[in-house]
Amino acid sequence: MAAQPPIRLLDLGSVPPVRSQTIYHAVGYAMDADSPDTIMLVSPDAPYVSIGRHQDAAREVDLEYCAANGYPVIRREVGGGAVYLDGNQLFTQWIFQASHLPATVEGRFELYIDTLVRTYRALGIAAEHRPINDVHVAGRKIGGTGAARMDRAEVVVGSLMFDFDTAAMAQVLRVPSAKFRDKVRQSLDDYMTTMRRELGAPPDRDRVVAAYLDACTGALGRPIESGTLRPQELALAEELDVRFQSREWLEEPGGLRRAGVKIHEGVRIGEGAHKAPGGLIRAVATVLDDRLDDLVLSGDFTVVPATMPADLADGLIGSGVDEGALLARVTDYYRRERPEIPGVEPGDWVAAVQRATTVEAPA
Amino acid sequence: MTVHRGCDIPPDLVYDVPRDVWIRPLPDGTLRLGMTDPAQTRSGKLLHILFKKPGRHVEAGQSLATIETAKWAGPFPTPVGGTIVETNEASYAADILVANRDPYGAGWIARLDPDAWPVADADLVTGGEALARYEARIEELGLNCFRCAD
Repeated sequence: MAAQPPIRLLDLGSVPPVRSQTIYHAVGYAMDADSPDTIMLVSPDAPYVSIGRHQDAAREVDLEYCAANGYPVIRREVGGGAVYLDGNQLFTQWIFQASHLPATVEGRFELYIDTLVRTYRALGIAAEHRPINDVHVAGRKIGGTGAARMDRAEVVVGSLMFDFDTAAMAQVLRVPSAKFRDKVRQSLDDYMTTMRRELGAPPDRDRVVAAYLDACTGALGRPIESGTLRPQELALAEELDVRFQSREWLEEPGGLRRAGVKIHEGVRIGEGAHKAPGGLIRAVATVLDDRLDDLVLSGDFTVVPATMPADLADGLIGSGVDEGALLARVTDYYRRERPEIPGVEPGDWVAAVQRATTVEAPA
Repeated sequence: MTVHRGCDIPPDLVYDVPRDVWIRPLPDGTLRLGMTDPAQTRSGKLLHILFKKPGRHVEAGQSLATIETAKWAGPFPTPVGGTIVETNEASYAADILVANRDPYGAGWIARLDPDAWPVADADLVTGGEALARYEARIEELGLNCFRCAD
């Protein structure tokens, strides 16, 4: 990557939600052999929800809630999950000639995330890269990232997180139950962080931008110069504004199904049910690095004592999610406590928990 | 020798090296296309693939499918124009990692009835020339291939 020209900086400030997505697609698709590598900084001027390239909007997002609250739902050409976005995030969008970035996805994230980590550290936040593409502060995720190919451009996008509305994020997702939504909210609070949370108050945008540009100059070893959008980029952005707001684009069947909600690379929430002879067992499970971090058990079975499901759930916290580990703990609980619960055997609880913790293969 | 830094480059296929696409001309005049070993390594484990429908005509450079891996999304471009005759959707439905396991065999992506073949102005190579081009490219990219199936 020697002797490359300066990187163009486009600091666009605040733009409408759809433009905060279409602009990097436009710069990517408008790229020709002479186009500069570009770093774009932008924030949306209103809240919205972005869904991944192959997600089904109606399956992943509570569209009625979003409509009632005025949140547009916008599909992006970058993969990943549904996410709530607003002006408390500074999007850092890289649109580079493919040959000017590392060849592998992992390599591109290593470089890109290095700049986010350097920025946070310059601001006094002990961030670190959790491979492949998370940034963590003491086990909590700060911001999200993604990557895509757009004709000759490789694109890497992410954000610097001033603040994050975990309640809004939990509300916009389509989830199976109110209990599940509570767990999403709780896990977002437990396993995500922001500059506000780490520093007490979010720093000035100008200070963050300066730190970020220093980080990029250092990591990329290239000068960065302020520039402007080219006419063809702007024209394409206007075309994409229309396409990205169309029903056809939003409702395009994606077919990608993933069980549960991922909070970050190591934390996932899922719900499962199992029909035992004595009744239906429901489990809502939070899994942290392949161990049960939180569990709620309920159902329509008859049990004495009535506290048995909650007691059993408490006893399973910390267990591995494999069948053997779960069955050993449930069997031990039955032997010690001798609950009266006709038609529900230890294996039935294990089946319900495993339904909640097993990540289904995508369709 | 068809393996360089772990990357398998079968010499009997035709390649678009910059696009990382292989082509196998079939006896009936159609072309089978897929991701190369370097391509599946660079993108990582597939999570989802959305195919364009058979019967659709595509120009050179347009995508035959959109691929999503765990961390990246992008097109699978065709080096030659033509009409999509068949896709390998069923194999991917049965095993989404089929291209990561077997990119040149069971992991093919689409079969195309080309507008013209061979294509005079396409930058396609085969045999020793393909190997030489890929060796240089693999070195330039610093790539080490692996079949990321498990």
